[in-house]
Amino acid sequence: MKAHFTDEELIEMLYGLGPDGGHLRECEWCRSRWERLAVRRKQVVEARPELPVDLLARQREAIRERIQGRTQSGFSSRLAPALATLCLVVAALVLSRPAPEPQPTRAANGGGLYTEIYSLVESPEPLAAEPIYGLFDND
Amino acid sequence: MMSVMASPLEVPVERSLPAGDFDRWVASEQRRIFLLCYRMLGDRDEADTAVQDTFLKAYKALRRPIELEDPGKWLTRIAVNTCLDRLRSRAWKFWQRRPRQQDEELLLMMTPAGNPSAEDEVFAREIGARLAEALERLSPQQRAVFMLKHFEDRRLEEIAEILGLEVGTVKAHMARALARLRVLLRDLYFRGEPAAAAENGGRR
Repeated sequence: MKAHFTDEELIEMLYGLGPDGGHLRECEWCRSRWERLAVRRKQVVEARPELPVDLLARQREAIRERIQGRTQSGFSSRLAPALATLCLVVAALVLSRPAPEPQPTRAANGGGLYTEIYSLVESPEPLAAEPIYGLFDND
Repeated sequence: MMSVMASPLEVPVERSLPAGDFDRWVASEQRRIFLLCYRMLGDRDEADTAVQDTFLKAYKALRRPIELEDPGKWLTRIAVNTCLDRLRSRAWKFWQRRPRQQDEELLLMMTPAGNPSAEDEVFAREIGARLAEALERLSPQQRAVFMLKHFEDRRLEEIAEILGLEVGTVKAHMARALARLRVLLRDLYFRGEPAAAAENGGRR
């Protein structure tokens, strides 16, 4: 005959684990312990704790309010994505418009251009040297 | 006191539920779901929010026609997942102090009543408090597995289905939970009895 079940083994069996319960059929002592345990277990499972009634009532009210809030905001919550999409489309259209044609710059006056080029050509010194000459100017 | 559920919700969810409308269903399942959430979270306010979230998710799901073999199990699954999500996010909120005074009071109120003697009642309260404290030390998955078995007496296969786990994984979680709660459970089930292993040469 197998040795008796320990308390821990019986508890494991109670919770769906533990060894094969075949030993209970042949051992009266273990069977009686198992039956006592089952009675105690039944009390634990069937115990109906009392909860504050006002707590449950407030909770139901909160659930109801949240559900109704959700129902009422359903339209706006559907509308918001639509509006966002519309804004994106408008922005995309604005940004994708072709850039304006570059306006031709005002043509330089032919006479002025000639004078400017002539003065550059006729100048004995490059224009960039003028500031350096300025440093040695005693006037 | 404020009026409670003065008018029924106007949502045709009856076709997904076995009987009655959503209001009645909430009323019939609310206590069980609150206890489940409270035992999972150990905090009255968090449990309150989790219950609301659970029913809100259920409501949202039931607005579309779905076939539910067992609405209670389906709701349990939503509740457990809601609590697991909250526990995961709580891991970052280490500064939150618990339990608060109101939680301790609620814990005492939740202690199973109906024991014949005052001594039994005191013992039941003591065990209830110790169990709540011990549950805090289990991992969220272990806690969920243990609670669904201990308080709701669900089969391990059912628990696996609710949690979306393999049965073997559920067994592993249960074994670890039982190992951590060994002394407490022995006190609960064998109060006042000498340990069988020592007295009778048990198998271990």
